[in-house]
Amino acid sequence: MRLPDYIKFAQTNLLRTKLRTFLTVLALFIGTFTLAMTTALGTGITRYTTTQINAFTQPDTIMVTPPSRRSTSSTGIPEYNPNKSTVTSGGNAQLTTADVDKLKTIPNVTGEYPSYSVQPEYIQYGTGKKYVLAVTALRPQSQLTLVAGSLPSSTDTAATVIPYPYVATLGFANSAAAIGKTVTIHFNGLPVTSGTKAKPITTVPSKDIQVVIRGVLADTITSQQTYLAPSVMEDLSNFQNGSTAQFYEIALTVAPKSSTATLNAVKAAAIAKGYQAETPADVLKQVQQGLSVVQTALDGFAGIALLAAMIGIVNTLLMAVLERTQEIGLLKALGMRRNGIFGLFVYEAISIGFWGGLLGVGLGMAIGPVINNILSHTLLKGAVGLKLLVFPLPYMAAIVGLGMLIGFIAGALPAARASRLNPIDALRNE
Amino acid sequence: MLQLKNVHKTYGTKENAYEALRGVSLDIQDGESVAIIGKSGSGKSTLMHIMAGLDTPTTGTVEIDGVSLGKMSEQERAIVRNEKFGFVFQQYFLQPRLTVMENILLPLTIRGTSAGERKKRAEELLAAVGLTDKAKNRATDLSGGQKQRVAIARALANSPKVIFADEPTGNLDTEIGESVITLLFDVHKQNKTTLVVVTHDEDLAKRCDRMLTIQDGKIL
Ligand SMILES: Nc1ncnc2c1ncn2[C@@H]1O[C@H](COP(=O)(O)OP(=O)(O)OP(=O)(O)O)[C@@H](O)[C@H]1O
Ligand SMILES: [Mg+2]
Repeated sequence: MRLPDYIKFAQTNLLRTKLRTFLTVLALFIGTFTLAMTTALGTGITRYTTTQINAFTQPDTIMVTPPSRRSTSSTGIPEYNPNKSTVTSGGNAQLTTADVDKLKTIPNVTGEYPSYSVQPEYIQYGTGKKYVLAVTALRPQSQLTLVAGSLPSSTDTAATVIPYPYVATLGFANSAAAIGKTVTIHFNGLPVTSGTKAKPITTVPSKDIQVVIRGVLADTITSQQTYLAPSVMEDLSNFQNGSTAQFYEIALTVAPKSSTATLNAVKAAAIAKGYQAETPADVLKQVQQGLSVVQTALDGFAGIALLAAMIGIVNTLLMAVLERTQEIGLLKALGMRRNGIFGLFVYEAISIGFWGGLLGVGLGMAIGPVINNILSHTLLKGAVGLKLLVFPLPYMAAIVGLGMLIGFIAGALPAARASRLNPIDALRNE
Repeated sequence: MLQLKNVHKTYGTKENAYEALRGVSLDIQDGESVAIIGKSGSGKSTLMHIMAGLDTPTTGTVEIDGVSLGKMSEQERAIVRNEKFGFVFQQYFLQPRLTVMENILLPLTIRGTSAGERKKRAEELLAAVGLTDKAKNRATDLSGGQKQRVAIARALANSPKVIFADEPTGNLDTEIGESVITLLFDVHKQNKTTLVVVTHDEDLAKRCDRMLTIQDGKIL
């Protein structure tokens, strides 16, 4: 027999027992639909978190934090040491400019960017209302996702990149309208005490900076920071904290597109100097490990549904073999070989798998955008650009393929049984 | 062309064993028509199935054109059945879901003949059995006589050397049976096909070149 004949026979036979076929396909559909949805959810969340992580990690950057006295101990909980105070300023171990100088000496490091702790008072556009904000340094090689404008170079000291919610808050019609506009950010310095001891006069120096909006950040849950040039941040840090500035982390950059080996070497060097260090890959890996556990659990449910469907297919085909014993006998009498009979039933099972897979994936892809749309107006309103369900075509095709494979596996036993029937016994069967 | 040598067939084992054929030897010539008659249970169908390679003898040999069916693999026997033999059964055995045309073409479909060639052959076959206007009907929608015509057309599909018919008129009334017999003999004469008919029907048996009577698994 030729392939088109097998396929045609399979469809004809499936249509003989419409209800039974429908129910068998339905069972498989439940599995493939679940799998399509969990895959879409997994893909959507992974893509979204990757964007989120990219918004606060940069490639070619190693984040260095102070040594921890608690983690990285393989010998259990360390003993209390009265000489090592557990209380540090700000509650956390802090880094200083001395640490910056120490880290500078690591080979391959092209730049050091301490996380300057700068507290702005407000941001204002023209004579509009004043709003609070948080600022951070725009390091070179930053991978920020923008909805408008472009990333300014880190040496452009008069530039800023603002988070999306500030567009409307500051009174711009849309993101594009904000680009090129100058805003004022106001800072207060350290209080200065003058006058006499009896009558101290405390004054707070203040400072305004004028910056031009060069870009608007895509809305991300993790990043609501306004970006300023590193040198501006350093000036402001000195203005607010003097030379005693402390940082909770220092970003070390290496040349763009450095190899993983280089990144790891810098990380190792920092660790050797007694710091904690993380590459962007480390961060991504931690998050994705967590996600993959969730994904596996979800896929497990789909797997159970598919297993049940598989048993359904076996059952349906065993019934079909019984019912069609006489037909099988005739086909054998007319010269159909074992392979032919086997093929007949296996193609039938594969067809069930194909239709179940196509329906599951098809329905998933049909309602996915609807769900995305509803969620983006309700639950996930703030997260611009988040598609919770993403259906990558190769995965969807693979699910249909999986359905067909399940059909094949399930069909093999009944088909083998049919192929072994003796033509005469089969014809006598009445 | 068909040769049986001392064929025995035993069904079952031990105390249940039943010897349906007890040493049958016969020789059927190319183009001959042979009727196999005998009482019910005498072993007619068993003999025909063994001749046609549908069943294997317990002992003895069956040769087609000098080649032993017993020495062939199951696959090779299937090919012989497909290419050299045609079958007509009392119960027709048409595939209910297929159309008349698809039923007729089954041996060609199994063989893997191209769609174009099949279509051409279908027209010839439908015309030969007078069912051109029923080509697209479901096989189940036909009368008994029409069903048996479809079965005959199907038996002819691969232009076989031998047609085996097991009680082809058994389910038909006399008149319709007569027309089916006429068709069978027309085909046999025109195509010089060898014809082996198992029957209870005296009239049918008399029209054959030779009549073999079987009794208790032996040819008289
Ligand atoms: N599969 C089988 N198992 C056991 N006995 C069988 C089997 N097939 C046939 N027989 C027996 O073999 C004998 C011959 O059967 P067969 O079908 O050849 O008879 P027949 O001459 O064709 O009869 P009828 O005219 O009724 O069709 C019968 O006694 C039957 O009961
Ligand atoms: Mg019989």
